[in-house]
Amino acid sequence: MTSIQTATPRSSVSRRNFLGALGAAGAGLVAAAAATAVPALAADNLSGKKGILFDATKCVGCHYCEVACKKANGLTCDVALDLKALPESAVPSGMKSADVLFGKNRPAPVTEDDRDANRWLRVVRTTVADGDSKVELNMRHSCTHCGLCASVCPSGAMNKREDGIIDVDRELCIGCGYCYQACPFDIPHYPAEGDRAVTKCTGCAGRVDEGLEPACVSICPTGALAFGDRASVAASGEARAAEVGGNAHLFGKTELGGIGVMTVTAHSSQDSGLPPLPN
Amino acid sequence: MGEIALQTSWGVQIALYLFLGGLAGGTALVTGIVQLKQGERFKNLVRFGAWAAVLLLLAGVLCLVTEVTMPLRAMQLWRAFTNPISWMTIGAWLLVAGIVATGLFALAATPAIGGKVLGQKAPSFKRVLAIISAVLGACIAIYTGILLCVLLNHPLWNTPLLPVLFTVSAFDTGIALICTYLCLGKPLGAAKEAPAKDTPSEPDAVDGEKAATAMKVTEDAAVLAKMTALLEECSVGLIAAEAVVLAVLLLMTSGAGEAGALSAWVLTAGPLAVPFWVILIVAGLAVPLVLELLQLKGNHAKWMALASPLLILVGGCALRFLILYAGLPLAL
Repeated sequence: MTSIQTATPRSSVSRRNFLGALGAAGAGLVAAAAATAVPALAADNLSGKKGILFDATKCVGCHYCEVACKKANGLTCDVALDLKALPESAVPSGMKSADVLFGKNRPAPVTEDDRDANRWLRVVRTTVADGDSKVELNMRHSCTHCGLCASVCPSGAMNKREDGIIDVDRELCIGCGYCYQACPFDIPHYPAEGDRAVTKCTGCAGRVDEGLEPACVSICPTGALAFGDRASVAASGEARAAEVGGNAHLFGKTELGGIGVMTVTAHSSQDSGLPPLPN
Repeated sequence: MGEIALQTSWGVQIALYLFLGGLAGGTALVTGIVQLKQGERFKNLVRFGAWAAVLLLLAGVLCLVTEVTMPLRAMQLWRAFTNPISWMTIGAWLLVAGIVATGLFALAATPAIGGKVLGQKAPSFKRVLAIISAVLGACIAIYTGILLCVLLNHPLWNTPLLPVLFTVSAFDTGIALICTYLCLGKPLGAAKEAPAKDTPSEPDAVDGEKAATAMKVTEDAAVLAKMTALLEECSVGLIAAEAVVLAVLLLMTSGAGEAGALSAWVLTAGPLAVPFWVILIVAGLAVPLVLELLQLKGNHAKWMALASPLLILVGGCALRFLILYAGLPLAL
């Protein structure tokens, strides 16, 4: 044993040094990184930004907006209009079916795998308890332009424009799935075949640049959709919620720092199928 | 509880990548520190650690490339990783820097290459490269946790404890890999050439050389034992820290709304409970902790010295898979 002790080299590792180095490296870097890690949501997402107001109390579930979205964005149209949902007065004269929009040669439905990537907007009809009875509720599910995807996207494929619209440059997408993981609304999707870059609602950025409204808004026959500056969208949404009364409220003005698509619903957010959001 | 849809959008390759990146980072850090403290004595260990770190980083990158849907675009780094506030961008460039630095370190630590090219300057080059690759290794280990931690939508991931957990585990797996080499390899550098037998020399001198060789052997054994004990001590501390962080993380998550509670349930009592308790907690943390404490108390069975690091590696891998698959989104 003595030989072992005397043989200990002068340059032996100091235990304290080693542990200290490990600990300092670890703790210091973790603390520094964690401090800057979480993406900050914009404090004021209203001024200078564009927004859409969806008024669920006016939506009848005709799917007109879905068809218009698919047509404007070159997506395969496998949605049928439900004109019966519309009051007589709201049906444009001469309109009978989706043939009016797409001609006789309607494309084949897309496969189940590609359905989400091919559908940037959908209106879902559910029933909600209203006191003792159940009432019909049509909810719009699409990108809310909250911007969480753009904050994590490494390539800039998801990019936030000056007007707050989250546009998609599919040419840049590497298909990492980070945007999908960041999205609280289950919006970004990847086609199963062919060009597997991400797809989602682009807010009809091209139409907006031309001074037009997004396709879904421009075609809505019941006035359930409106487009404009976020501040005025929020104001009219709040006014409408007050007008409806009861549980009615505006979702999206303050959530996630203010998002691009705000919803007026007569029911609680949870009953309306709006997702729980991070703080 | 009915059917729970686990988080599978990010699957096997991402889990493996998180493990390999952490392991590589931890290995680079430990190797760098060994180089700085006792590099000349542990030449072989340093060479092993540096090459292992590079190869593990490359394996991790391979996992990433096979996971994305547009791999050819992802490989055009300058085009694919441009958003400076994205942690994936930060991580991608950290990986590039880490592979370059650790690769150069590995080359410099290989006598046939580094010795020839660098000559007398080899030690100072190795020193600088050791520092750079150790720092980058630590950064990579930490970033693997931050990558998940910034996803606000997943309560199990969205806590500053997650990077701490992954970092502690990464350092521990790095130490485990080095310990495996200490056990199986020849960490102390090539033994000095034995004096040629037919050299005519005085009997006294022969005895003297024999004595010197014997002295060298006992000295080597002592250095090795000291290094092993030191790494075991670090490992014990890291395992204990990992257990505490994991426990606090699960407690906090279980109180963080419906999705958080469900994530904690999935791990501790739900569909992932068996791998969680058997592979991670018992095999990956408890058993190696006991084995290392026994070794520190002077029990030097070879199977123990090998079993504990191997189990730590298994546990580290299981941790990434479990955390990834249990990371349920807020909207269930």
